[in-house]
Amino acid sequence: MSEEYWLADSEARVLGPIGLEVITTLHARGKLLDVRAVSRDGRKFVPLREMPELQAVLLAPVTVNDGQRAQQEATRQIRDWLASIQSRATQEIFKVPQSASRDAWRAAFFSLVHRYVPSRLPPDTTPELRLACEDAFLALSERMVEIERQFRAPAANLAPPPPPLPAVEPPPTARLNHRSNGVQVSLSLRRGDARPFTQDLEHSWQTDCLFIATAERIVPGTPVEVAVGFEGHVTQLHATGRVMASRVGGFTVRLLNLGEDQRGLIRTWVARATTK
Amino acid sequence: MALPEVLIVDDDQLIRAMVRDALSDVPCEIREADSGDAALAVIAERSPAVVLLDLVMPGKSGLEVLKILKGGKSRVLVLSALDTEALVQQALAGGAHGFLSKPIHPLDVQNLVRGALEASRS
Repeated sequence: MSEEYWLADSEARVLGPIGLEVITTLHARGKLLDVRAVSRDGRKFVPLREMPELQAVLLAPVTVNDGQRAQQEATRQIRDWLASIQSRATQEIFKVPQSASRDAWRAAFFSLVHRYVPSRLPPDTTPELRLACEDAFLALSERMVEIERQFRAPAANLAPPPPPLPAVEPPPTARLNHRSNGVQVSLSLRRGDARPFTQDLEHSWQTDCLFIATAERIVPGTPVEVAVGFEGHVTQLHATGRVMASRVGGFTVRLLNLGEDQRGLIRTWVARATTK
Repeated sequence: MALPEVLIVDDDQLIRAMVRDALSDVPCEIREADSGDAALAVIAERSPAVVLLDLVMPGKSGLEVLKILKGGKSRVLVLSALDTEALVQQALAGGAHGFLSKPIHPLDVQNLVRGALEASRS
């Protein structure tokens, strides 16, 4: 029986037991770029250099055919496709009839967008391909946001135009501080303003989400540290999360590991703002 | 009647949240575990109908968990970005009832879980 191995990455995440053949294939596909320690029994791990047969496989250069050349071709195809959809109607791009249900639109959107989600690209993705995927992701997301708007206001075309809205304050602008492991966001909310928790109807405070208004484009999947100040409150909200979606005008963060105290603070703030 | 249980096993909290969202329309009770060892504890206690299992995790790997669960009551569906044919075959031979490549598509997750829940009832 051929030898089996366990591989561990820099975060001590383990894959195994797998044979040398599987390891060779995964490496050739660029899927094993962060192997730090290896083991023959899954218990005792040693540095990669202590297993020369594995080191030879994992330090071998990824072939051009499997790596950069394929990515160059993929980049070119995405760029061509992006250019071709600019003047096309959304229904043509999504390949659904204009009268399709919201679920059908969403299903079409997901089937198109999932291959471009930047946070899920392999770590060895070239910057050019990553940028092309981000552009495709944003282009499709912007189209879908427009479709969702139409479903939220189905009678808008039939009803007389509404009176002009009173001037509203611009949404609170966040301060962003880029760090090596993500983005720090600092936000101060004025009394009665709960828009960051409510303006993205799909991902609101009810699903532990927060919309950050900014002109900067942040890649989905980026880790985020959030500090929110509430006017009139001593308590600040400190939380961590990840960017779920990014669009023109800002991005949505899903807050992770929120405690009940923090949820209570948000719930109370939203309730006061929406019943004023 | 109690809803069937689905256990999501992934060390990435965002993936767990995305899978949970994808299953919001599927009648089931969802549980989560962030490591192989935590998953085994939940499975021993709850015996979920379906387990969605990542392959690369701290502590016990997904393949090790799969080996322990082989032949058990739970139907195991592997979710992984390591979707080479050889590894998919190894997972299926090791007892997985299905394999889904990351990045995940919500409808694929739904369909796979619905099918596994249906199979677990028969």
